[in-house]
Amino acid sequence: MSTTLREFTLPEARPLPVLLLLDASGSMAEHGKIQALNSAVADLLATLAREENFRAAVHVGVLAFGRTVRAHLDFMPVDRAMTAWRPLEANGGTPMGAVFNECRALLENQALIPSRSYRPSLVLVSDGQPNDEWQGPLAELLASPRAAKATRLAMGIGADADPTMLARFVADPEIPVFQASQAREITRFFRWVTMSVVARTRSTTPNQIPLPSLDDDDQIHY
Amino acid sequence: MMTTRSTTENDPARVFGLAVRGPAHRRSRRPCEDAWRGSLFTDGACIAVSDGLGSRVEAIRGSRLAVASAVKCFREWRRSPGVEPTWLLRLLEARWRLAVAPSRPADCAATCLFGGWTAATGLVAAALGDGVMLLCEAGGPPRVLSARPPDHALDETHALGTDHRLSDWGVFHLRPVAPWALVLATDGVADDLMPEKLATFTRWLIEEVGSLPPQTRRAQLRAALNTWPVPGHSDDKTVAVLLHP
Repeated sequence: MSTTLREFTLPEARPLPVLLLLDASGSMAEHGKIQALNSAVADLLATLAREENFRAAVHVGVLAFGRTVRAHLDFMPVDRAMTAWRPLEANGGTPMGAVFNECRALLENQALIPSRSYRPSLVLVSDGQPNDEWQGPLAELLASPRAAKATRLAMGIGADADPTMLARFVADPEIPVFQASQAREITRFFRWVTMSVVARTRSTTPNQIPLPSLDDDDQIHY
Repeated sequence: MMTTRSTTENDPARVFGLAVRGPAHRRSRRPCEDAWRGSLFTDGACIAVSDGLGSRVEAIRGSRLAVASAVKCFREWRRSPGVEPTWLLRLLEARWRLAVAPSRPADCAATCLFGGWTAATGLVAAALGDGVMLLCEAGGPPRVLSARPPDHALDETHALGTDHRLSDWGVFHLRPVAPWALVLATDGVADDLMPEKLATFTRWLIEEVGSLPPQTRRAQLRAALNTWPVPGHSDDKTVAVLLHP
């Protein structure tokens, strides 16, 4: 046969989108939180980029919310994301409602997340109370088909974080909201996130695999 | 399973197809949960493909009964001139439910794409769920009759045995310009095709694979589906083709 399959098949594995919603408000500048978050995200990207034998192509995007809501890192394959990553700077408030709206729009973008993609992983990190109207945008996000099917993880940093709001984002009693009282616990949470993504990409059924236990975070090598 | 046969000289049609286990089922030593069926009658032909939903305990049974029911229902429907194709779908929904009993339909959930043709009825093609249905007419580029809707939620599909309405079926009643070919594929193939290269895919399947002698064709098609080049692919893979003439 003269035609080869590569002439009409896609060259990349099915994408597994990982979208990080990261708090870059002014309060994150205190107690080394933003530095710990930047370091943990860099570790996550490096670990996922090193991982081989993926059955899915991990694509990562970062939405930062602080003075503004912005795509701090456009959606892209994780090896490119690792190179493109720049540390966040902390300033401004906590416009959680705006970031939920932005997240929903991004998930619905067919060009960024084609329909052959696996279910996304959404990760929300915040150290404070929302300072905008967030309940309506969160309800709309959770009602959107793609976010509804996503694996949603959340971490609150410090005493000012709103665990009730974070639990509503996760919306799954089986998945705990991670509470970090110190900067180094941010690293632990991101190891767990990394492990959950790695487990999905190694699985033959990335849409159905259960989350690893939070206590298993030493099983991954850095 | 693969067959290739022709109808009578007056109404020449050929069908062929193949379902192979994907890497995920090979690794877990589970059988293929896809199925296909092709059938030729004195006055026409019918093909069907189905993908048993992976999370369902009797998905294999569901997919096999889906393709068998589709072909059987088309054979019956063609004998009743003037009856709308939607009645064919109602018949198929009912026959599949009866066939899977006493199992719960939800345990046997499976997609269903099929197409049947006779000179009297023309081509009827229908799809419930993921996969792709392509029609090539008069040597032209393929026309996508049915594919995963772009706004569909990820990993979401309609299927026999899941909540759906009759209107969730995509149904087409056509009189294609000869020579024509109907190509069906489950999502293990369909999701990995470059949208802008569908013509290359159908040309490969119809002209290159379709022109081979049956035994060679079976081997070549199996080899191709078993050496699928997309990184990380895991699904079962099924194609079926109805060629006229």
